[in-house]
Amino acid sequence: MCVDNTQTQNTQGTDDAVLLLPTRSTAAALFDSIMSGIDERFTLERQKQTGEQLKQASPEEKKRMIGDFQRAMVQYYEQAGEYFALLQKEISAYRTFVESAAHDHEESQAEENLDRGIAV
Amino acid sequence: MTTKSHKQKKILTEESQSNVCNMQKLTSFSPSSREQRLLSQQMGIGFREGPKGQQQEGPKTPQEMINTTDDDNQMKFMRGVLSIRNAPQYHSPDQVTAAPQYANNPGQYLSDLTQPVVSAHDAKMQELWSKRDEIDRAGSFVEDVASMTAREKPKLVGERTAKWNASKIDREINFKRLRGKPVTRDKWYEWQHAAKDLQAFGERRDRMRTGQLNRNMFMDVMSSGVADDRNLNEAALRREARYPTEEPLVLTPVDIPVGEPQQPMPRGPQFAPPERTAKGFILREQGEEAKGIPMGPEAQPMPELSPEMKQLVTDLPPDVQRPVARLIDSMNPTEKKVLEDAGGKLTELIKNPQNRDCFFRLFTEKGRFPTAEELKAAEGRFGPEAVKNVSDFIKGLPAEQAAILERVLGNVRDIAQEHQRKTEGYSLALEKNPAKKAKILKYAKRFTEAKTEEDRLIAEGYLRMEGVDVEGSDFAGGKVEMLPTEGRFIGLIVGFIQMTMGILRKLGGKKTPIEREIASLQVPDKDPKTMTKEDREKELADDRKALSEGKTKEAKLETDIKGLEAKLKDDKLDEKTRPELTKRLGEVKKELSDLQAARAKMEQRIKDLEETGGIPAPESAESVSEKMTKFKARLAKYKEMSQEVDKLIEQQTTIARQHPMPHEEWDRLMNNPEEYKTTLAEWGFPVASQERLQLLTSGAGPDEGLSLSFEA
Repeated sequence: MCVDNTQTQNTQGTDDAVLLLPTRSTAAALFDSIMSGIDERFTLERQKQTGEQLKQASPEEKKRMIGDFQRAMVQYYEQAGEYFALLQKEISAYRTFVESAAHDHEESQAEENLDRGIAV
Repeated sequence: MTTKSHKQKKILTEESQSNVCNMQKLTSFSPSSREQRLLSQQMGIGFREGPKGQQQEGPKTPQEMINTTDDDNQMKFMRGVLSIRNAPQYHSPDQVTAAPQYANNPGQYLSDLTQPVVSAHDAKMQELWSKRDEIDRAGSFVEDVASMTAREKPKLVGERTAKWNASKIDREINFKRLRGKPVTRDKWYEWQHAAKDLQAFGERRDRMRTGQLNRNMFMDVMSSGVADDRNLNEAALRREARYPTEEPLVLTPVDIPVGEPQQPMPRGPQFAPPERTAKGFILREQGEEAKGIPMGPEAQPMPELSPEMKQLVTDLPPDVQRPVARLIDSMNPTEKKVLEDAGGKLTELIKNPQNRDCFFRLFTEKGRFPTAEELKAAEGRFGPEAVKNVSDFIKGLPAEQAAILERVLGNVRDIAQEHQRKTEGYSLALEKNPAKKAKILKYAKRFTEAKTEEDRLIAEGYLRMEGVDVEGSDFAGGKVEMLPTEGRFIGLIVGFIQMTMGILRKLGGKKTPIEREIASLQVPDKDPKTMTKEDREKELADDRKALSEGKTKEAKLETDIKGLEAKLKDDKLDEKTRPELTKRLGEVKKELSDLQAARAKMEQRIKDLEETGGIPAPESAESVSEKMTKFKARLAKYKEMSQEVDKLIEQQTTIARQHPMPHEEWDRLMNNPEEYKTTLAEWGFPVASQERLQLLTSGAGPDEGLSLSFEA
């Protein structure tokens, strides 16, 4: 039937990830949602504020904050990569589902016809 | 490595600790081998996995790189990773703070680094979502998707038909995911309820797409095992998340009744197999109202059986174990006794095919024993003799026994009806399933080799149930004839009765030896000269044994005759006994003379066999290769034919598909073979092709037997 097993099994394993994915969002929202999990200071919303802090910080602190920011960016890159990989997977699973749905529809039609035509 | 002052080290340690959460995530990062190579080449960072001879000192793995308190090394590593991954150009914190463009506004550095990343990801996101929209658009029109995937599935129609016939269970549970899962009775009903709800929901939407989505969700629920509140909600959530453009799904949790089912099987096109009826069949019980027994393989549990009974039932083919066991289980001890004993009379009666037809046809039509008037009216159909025998049988039964037998036969009729629905259209020649064919042949063999009447009854019963014409077949000669369709139902009932009776008698410990018939003395037509040595010796031994048995019987008959004659000489015999005895004497004398004639023939035969040497026929290598060639030719022919069948079936299907019709119309058409033929011919499937197809699938004609053995 139409159920692509991969999908249903996936939901049992990595439930959260699958549930999070299909909400359509922008890259900015994605950045903020990921970055808020890493370091809230560097989200797009608070970047201005952080910039002000940076201005007033001592050279030592400035260096440390920039180091933090760079590390946070590395992590963002990692997690965004994961997100896109999952989205890609989800979309191809969706394609499989639609295709198999069509396939099954045809097949059930054919079987119906067979049922009528051949059971002599 | 640069050495650091104590103060610097302390700061760095604090810094690492403040970032411990972030670091934990980073540590899961593992660069690919390509990245490792680039890192070691460009950035001077080494890995243990690197090529031999190029290993460098210092921290080796990414883990160690990150865990190190060495700030330079850490940043070097991350910059390396980012530059390899085409991230924006990074600079060390020192460089950033020293850069003139950030001197007044260091916050600018943040947005300079963030913006290109965000816009790149935005483009990527749009690309992915547009892909998904494309699928959505294609999926909303069945035809589009169908054409999209058409080339991927050129499945053989013939193969599909075979599958269709092969597994009934697949049709009953028409969901891929449910196959092979153990199904309990309760679960079966849960599914039915869930299916019903989902179907009701599905009717509000576009049929195909919603049907698929619902099925998808149905499977989702079912994979969790129970269609309860929580699982339904969760499935609904998952579904919503996956198909956000669909209306949100509102499902009411299913109230599952415990114990007996309340609802019949839903009959939607997706959820109910076509041949299932909602009613089930009725099992009659004494003093109770007719009770609906659910259908479906798992809905009819195997009753608890005694060990002996179990032994006997497991001896039967699997498809009839359940019904027979249930039949016997449903009987009370009196009924069992009646069937065991009074059933003997019935067996006698139905040994004659005319009697059998008369009795069972009338019984099947009325659902009870026929009355005297009904019997009289049926004289034209079955002949006066059969009608007389049947009415004698019915009159001869005591009232109590008759009532019980009537009820038991009623049960058998219902079960047989159910079984017929499952095995309709079956015939040995049409059967392409070698396992089933082998089963019939196996029981035919059991029938011929049975040592006791009971064993023979069971085997005969099974053969009758499968539609074998027991009277018309010669099992010993390997000839199995099938009954025409209208005769099969009677065969089913008789078969059930025989099988049940056989088992009951066996349970009762009866082992009636099969009486040697005079027929066993009959001489086979085979010419001894054409027989092989082994055959000849075997037959000689058989014949000698039969001859000695015949002689014993002859002696017994002679003593019988003497006894009868002595009795007849007695003058005190009353008027009633005398003619009976005379009649009996005549019969015995006739039997004796037959036996003597047969013995003379047999003696001649033995003499022939002894005199003739027979042909010693060793198998030469040549004949084996010849057989192989023949076999190959046959195989090729068989392949060719099966291709032709597939082609014809496909043609037929295509034509049928071009002329959609309501179900009732189809049913009507299927019941009128002539009209069906002409209609198909009008549509463009000529009668010649239809007949060809019938010929090919019936196993007659050039492909007779369809068996691909070496002996062929």
